[in-house]
Formats: sequence, structure tokens, C-alpha cells
Amino acid sequence: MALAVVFIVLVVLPATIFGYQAWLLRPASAGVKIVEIIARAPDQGGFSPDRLSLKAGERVRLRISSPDVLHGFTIPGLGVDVDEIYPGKVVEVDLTPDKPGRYAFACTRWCGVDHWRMRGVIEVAGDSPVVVAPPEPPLFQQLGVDLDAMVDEAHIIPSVKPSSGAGAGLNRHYRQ
Amino acid sequence: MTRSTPSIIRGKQWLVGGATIALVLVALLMPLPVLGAEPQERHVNITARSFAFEPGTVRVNRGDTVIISLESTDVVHGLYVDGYGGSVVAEPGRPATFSFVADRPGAFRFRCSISCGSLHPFMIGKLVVEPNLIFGRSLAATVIVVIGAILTFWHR
Amino acid sequence: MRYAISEIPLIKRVLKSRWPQWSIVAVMLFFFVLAIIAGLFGTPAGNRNFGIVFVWIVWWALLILLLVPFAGRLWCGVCPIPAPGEWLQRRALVRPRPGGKLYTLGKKWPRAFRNIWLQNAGFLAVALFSAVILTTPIVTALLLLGFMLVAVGTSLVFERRTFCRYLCPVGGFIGLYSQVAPIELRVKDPAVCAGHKEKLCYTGSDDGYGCPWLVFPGSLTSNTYCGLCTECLKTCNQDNIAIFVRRPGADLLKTTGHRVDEAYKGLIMLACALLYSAVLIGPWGVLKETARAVGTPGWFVYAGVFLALNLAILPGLFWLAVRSGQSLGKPVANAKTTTGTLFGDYAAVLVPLGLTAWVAFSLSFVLVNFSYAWPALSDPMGWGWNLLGTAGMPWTPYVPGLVPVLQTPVLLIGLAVAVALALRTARQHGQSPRGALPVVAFCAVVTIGLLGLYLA
Repeated sequence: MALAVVFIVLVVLPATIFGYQAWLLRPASAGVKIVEIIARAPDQGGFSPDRLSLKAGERVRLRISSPDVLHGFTIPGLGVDVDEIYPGKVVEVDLTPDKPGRYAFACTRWCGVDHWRMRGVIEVAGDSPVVVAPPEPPLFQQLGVDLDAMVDEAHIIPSVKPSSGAGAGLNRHYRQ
Repeated sequence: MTRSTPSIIRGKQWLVGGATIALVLVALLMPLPVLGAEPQERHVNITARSFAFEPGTVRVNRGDTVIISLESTDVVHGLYVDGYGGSVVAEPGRPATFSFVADRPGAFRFRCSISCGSLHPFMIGKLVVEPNLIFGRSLAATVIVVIGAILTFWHR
Repeated sequence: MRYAISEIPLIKRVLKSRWPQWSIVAVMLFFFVLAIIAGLFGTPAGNRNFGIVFVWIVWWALLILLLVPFAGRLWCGVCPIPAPGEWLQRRALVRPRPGGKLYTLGKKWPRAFRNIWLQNAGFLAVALFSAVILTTPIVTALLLLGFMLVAVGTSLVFERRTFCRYLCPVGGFIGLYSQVAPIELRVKDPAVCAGHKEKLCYTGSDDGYGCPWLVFPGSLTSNTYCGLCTECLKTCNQDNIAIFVRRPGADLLKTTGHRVDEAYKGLIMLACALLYSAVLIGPWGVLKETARAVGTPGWFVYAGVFLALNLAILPGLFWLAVRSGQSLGKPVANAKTTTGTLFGDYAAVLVPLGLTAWVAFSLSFVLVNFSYAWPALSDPMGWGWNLLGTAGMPWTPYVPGLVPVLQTPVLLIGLAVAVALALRTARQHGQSPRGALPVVAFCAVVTIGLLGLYLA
């Protein structure tokens, strides 16, 4: 009888702890995907994981926790905004992303010098191809203004004149 | 010279011991008129970083209106004052203030009220409201206890 | 003047039966294992982790504020750390094997270590690293696990509860402070033991094992080395052992058997109380950060100062007080006592002084942080559970304004008892009472130092 008690304490207790946690995290009957995110101070790694791959229309439960300091959590593209992830407390966010795309998430409570760099990406894949709407053309193009035609005599005229084409070339140069 | 019998010694001990305890209670509890400087408004800037407050010790006078401006330099910190119960939370870049009237003299610890890392429970500072009667009283009580105990237990 | 509380029929039944005590040990073991698992796998945020909250706040508060001052070494009787080792050693869980046989290599502990020096060293090591241990769950868990594994190993190699007697750092100081407690386990009539040939309380019998603390109950005059496991009470067939309620601190009145290792334990505890009060709950952030930054040059300086204070400075000051007392208190009779003997004998004052210092220090953080216990019960791992519905309870300091009001009387009581003991020691050695004055001054200065740290 005593042996049973000892067995309970030494074996059943750990098994129960991990078992209960696994049961809590099990996908519920209606197919909820559970994702754990740990929010650490940026110099300790920031969000972990920082890339999530989800499917459009999938019900997701995010469980966000922090082991060190106060963090916040926001996914602007999906309308999620958690004010406080208190160290040691787990915050659960339920969401169902329906539009495929890439959504950024970030920390919203100052947690260190690199707080601004504490962010991640959620990639939502779907049946329809990801349509990234091209950005609107700049106003001068919409108005049909020819920038190259606007010439003011400068005191010193460089050999390579500034123009939007030359600027685009600069971009290509820097992107390498 | 007659030698004291054990019962006389015992009686003397109870007398001296009792007197000591009475004096200690007087020292600790007797209300004293408080003479202090004129109460004024004090603005105190406290900077909080993990895991210390700067300045660590804040001294004010009794009756002062203390306006504490808490500024965090690294993460979110809070400040809670023992005995006065006021608290405030400050984010880096957004100082927060709260004020109270320091009507109780003594030394009060203030501590961080937002979990800010491992040493959070030991992130402590001290607010001293002068005149610090409690410390003075306990010093007096200590002296009384020492003398009283020596007299009570001194015999060859 | 003492009353044999264990003679009350209900209490006697409870003590003689093995199940009640064993059940308590099993419950303690449950919480111990939970603390280790929480520390190893739970949240690193200390105040939401069962391991940190229930070991360093709840258990510590119960130990130093209630158990030790009022029940001596009662914790040792229900401690889970030696339990698995002891079960393996006995190859029995509850009912003893015939003859009290033990299945261990049974080696005797080396003579050179049959003292509490190793426990002193163990305590110093834990105290030195406490800024990390108390705040990092995984370190606490590894420490607890380490204790248990050492206890198991020791049980299989050495006799009986060698771990508890010679290695456990906790046992080192609760043994010393248990002298203050108002209960004691002693023989009822020493003459019965003198006439009893077998001394089953030490050798063991079919009813029970010999004293696991390697103590002969018949010669117990002080609580220091009795772990209140009541094994002897179950084994003695002369019904000559009982637990008595007695005057608090009666053990401190003993005139012999004052040892240097115990004196040092008293000094170490006092030094640590002063250091903790300054470093952990003082307003000097620099000290705390240095204490935590293990391995940095600053930390080595801190460690050096820490150890110097514990092993050299405070003992040195105490020695000076004893020595100057020796010259001041010219012996009334022609007594020749060495400073060494006086050092050990005067060290009795460190027991009430140190215990009240630790009570005062503990009050300053226990009441403030006790409210972390409620969420820790509902969410021991910090994984977002809410077993009892209390996971959301906020941190609420309990009566923080009352703490200074409690600390002062506690320290003064310790001081008064210390002064009384000092004068008594002078008398015992035939010194004039003046000889106790330097030690009295030492006690007064320590008390004022602590009051200054808490109240100034």
C-alpha cells in the first residue's frame, strides 16, 4: 500500500503533470490548432518561434507566455492586440485567419533596447494564390508629370543627371 | 553584610525585569510631539532599472506632499510603497507620477510591483520620512533592554 | 519542569504507529517532487513557479517562523529528502524489517568529518549563491535534486541517516536553533537505561530501527542532534522515551559540550542574516546585481568579502569580545579557562541572537510575498493552468506596514536572552560579571546594526 503511494508520488505525479498539459493543449474536437509562442527579451531571442505557417480558415489558438519581463503582442493585420503578457502567465488568443498573406506580429510593451526588432511573421497559406496588390503608382506618374523635363539650370551640372531612372539604378545597386 | 537569599534575588530580578519591560514599552509606544520642518511639496525623480531604484533612499519630512515621478530605463517597472500603499507603473519613455502625503514617520520600503526579471522580488528602495521616530525609539529600547538585562542578571 | 506530552494516549498512539508520520513524509515528498518538476520544466519567472514560491517563501516561513522556534527539529522528522534513501536502505517503506536490519554498505563516516563543519560549508555555499538560487527556478530544482541524490547515495554507502547528521546544511542550523524550542525528546528515567543491557533504541529491534541520527537517546541532553524521527520511541521496549514540553531554551543552560563548530555555525548564521538584510532587502542595487553576477570580477570581490565576514571578521570580533572579557572579568575564584573554551561557551548567546535575527529578516520578505502562493497552487508550472481558480490572484503584500512593528520586539527579545546567557556564562567560569560586558556589547552592536538595516 505504501509502495503504491510512493509510486504515485514518484511516477504518477510527473506523468500527470505532463499528461494534463498535453490534454490541455490537445486540438479540440473542432480542429483547433494550438501554437505556443514564447516571448523573450530581444537580446534573449525575441519571439520563439518567429515564423508561423497557418492555413486560411484554420482555427488557431495562440498561447503566448513570457519567462522574463512584460511583453505585449499585436498582429495588426488580423486585429489581434494583447496589452500584457505578464511573466509566468499564459495568454490565449483565438483567431481564424481567412485571407491568405503574410502578417507581421510584434511586441508592444517596451522590453529592452531592441524592443523595436522584436517581431515575427505569420504566413497564411490558402487555396487561392497569395495576391499582393501592387502598390499605387506615385502621384507624379498619375498626373503624368515628366520629372526629367523639369530642368533648372544648376551652377554645376553633374555628368550623370538625377532622374527617376538613375534613382532606380541606385536601388538595384544597394540591393545587392 | 548579609548575603541576599535566592528568593530576594529572584524578587529583585522580577522587579528590575518588569521595570525594563515597562520602560521599553514606554520608549516604543509613548506618543511624542513631532517637531519637524514645515511641510513642503517635494518632487522626487526615481529612475528604475533592473534591478535597482535610483536613488535607492529617498528622504522627506513628515507632512510633505511627495510627488514621485517614476522613470523606467529598460523595461516596464512599477513602484509600490509599503505602509502607504500607493503604486504606479512606468514604461520606458513614459514616466508616471503619483503623489501622497507623508503623514507617517519612519522608514518604508518601496518595491517594484511589475515582474521585471529574476531579481524582481529584491528590487527594493527605502523611503525615510523624517523624523524617523521608529528607529530612534528602537535604539532607545535597545539601550534600555541591554541595561535592564545586565541589571536583572548581574549577580555573583 | 517538563511535561511528557507523548504520554497522552491519543498522541502516544499516533507516535507509536508508523502510518501517520509516514503519510506526512509522503505528502512532503509529493510537494518536493512537484517543486523539482516545476523548477526544471516550468516557467523561469520565479514568482509564478511553484518551486520558488513554495520552497523559499512558504516552506521557509513555516520553518523559521513556526517550526524551529516552537517545535525544534520537527521538520527533520517529516523531511522528504532522506526518505527515498532511507526506504532503500531499510528495504521497507513503513513496517520495519525484523531486527532493524539495514541493507547498506554501512561504512562509518570518517572521524575527521564527525562534526558540523561540512554543514557549515554547505550552508555558506548555498548562502553565497543565494541571489541566483532564490530567483532561478531551474537552479533551485537542481539544488533540491542534488540534495536528494546525495542523500540516497549516502544512505546506501554509510550508516543510517549520515546525510542528515553530517551533511545537510539545513540540519546544521535547525539543529543549533532547536535548542530554543519548548519541546524535547528524552528518556524518562536514565536509571532504566543504565540497567538495560541491550539499548535497543540504538541497535534496533523487531519493533524499529536504531536511532538514524547515530545518537544514543539515553544520553541526550540537548536537541541539537535529535531529528525527532521518533524511531527510538517506537523501538524502546522499556517505554522509557517520551517527548516533553519544557521551558523554552532549556538546552542553552547546559554547561558542557560547547563546540567550536557549533560556535562557528552560530557566527555564520548571524553574519548571513546581516549580509542578507543588507544585500537582498536593502536599497543598494549595486550589491544585489553583483551578488547575482556569478563569475564576474565584481562577484569574486563580493564572494571574498562574504566569506571573510563569515569566517574571519565576525568570528574575529567575537573572539576579541571574549578575550577582552577574559581580562576584564578577573576570575573570582582561581579559575583557569582558556579563551578557546570561553569562545565555545559564550557562543551560546549566538543562538537566541541569530534565531531572532533570522525571524526578523524572514518577516520582511515573507509577509510581502506570501500572496504568490495562491496562484502557484493553481498554476504550479506557470503553464496557464487554473486548478483551483486562484491563478489570477494579484500580488498583494500582507500588512507591510506591520513588519517594522514586529521586527523590533523580536530582535529585542533575542538580545535580552543573549545578555542573560552572557552573564550566566561569566558566572559559570567564575568570572566577575564584568567579563561578559564585551560580549554584551557585541550583541548590542549586532542588534543595532540589524535595526539600522530594517528601520533607518
